Amino acid sequence: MEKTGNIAFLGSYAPSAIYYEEADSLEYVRRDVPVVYRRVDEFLTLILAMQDREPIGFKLKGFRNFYLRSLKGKISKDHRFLDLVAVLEQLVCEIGDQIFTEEKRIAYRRALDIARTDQVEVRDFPK
Amino acid sequence: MKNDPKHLAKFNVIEGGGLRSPSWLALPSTVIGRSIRDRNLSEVYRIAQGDARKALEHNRRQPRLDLWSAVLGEIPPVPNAATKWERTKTGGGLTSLLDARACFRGIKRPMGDDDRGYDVCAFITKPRFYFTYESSLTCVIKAMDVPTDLVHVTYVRLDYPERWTNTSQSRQNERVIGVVTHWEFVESDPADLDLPMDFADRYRQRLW
Repeated sequence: MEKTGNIAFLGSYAPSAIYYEEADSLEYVRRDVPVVYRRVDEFLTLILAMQDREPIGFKLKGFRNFYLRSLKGKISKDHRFLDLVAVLEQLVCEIGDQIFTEEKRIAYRRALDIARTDQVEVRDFPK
Repeated sequence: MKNDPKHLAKFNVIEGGGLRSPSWLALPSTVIGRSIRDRNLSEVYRIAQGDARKALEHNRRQPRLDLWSAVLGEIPPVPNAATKWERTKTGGGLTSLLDARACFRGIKRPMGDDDRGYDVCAFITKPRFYFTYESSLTCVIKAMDVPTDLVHVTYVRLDYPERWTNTSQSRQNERVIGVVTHWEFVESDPADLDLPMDFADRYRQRLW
């Protein structure tokens, strides 16, 4: 078994919003392909496919603090998830005027489009 | 005591527990890289296992392949890969944390309990090759050229940031000083293709 990795036997990647605790970021990516991370600001990074640089996801950085401060209380006991669109809207609402450049606005809009089109639900939260 | 049922009852047989993990899944616990204080010195960093494991639980292969090729500087240990690439320019051209060309401190965003991300360092490398998954009968990964407008960034969270700032003698003797938390390809700065886009703004301080 030592030299026989079973990389081929992993299941298919199913897109979902994943919280990475050590990196402290919530990440959503449509495909498991080589990617490039394009920093937008201290909160948002767009994830682009390396091949054509098409945005295929994004990550929300420093998510733990944002979650504890602004999101945790909004999760109902019956439904243990949040709509990623609502999460992004809350973030935009909080940082408000800081999104002052057109470039940043476009990037946030791209992230919202991806979350809305894919109807992403966040079920993975910081502890 | 050996045959005493009272003692035997404390042990359970775990199915599959005797199998060794496939080598590409079994991450090394540490990696050797450049010191944050002096690029001519080396240092040992732990590799955080939790996030890497979580990505795999969601069937994401690429972050693990990037770790092997761009942080550890090794051909991912999957069947036939070493045979195919070990003696080629790909196998000899992989970069590890030891090949870092620059080191920045402070990522200007909260990370866990660090509100400023000041205790996080970013090591910049310029890999020429990476691997990606491809269904095949012979070898399920293939080597690709890294586009020239990209660099690779490996993030390390320091264990004893304040003491390192003060360059305490006792800490200087410790060889493991931080943990690799995540890694990623980012676009290069047009002014210097060896450094990340907007490097002057995105980090707090350049260490070397």
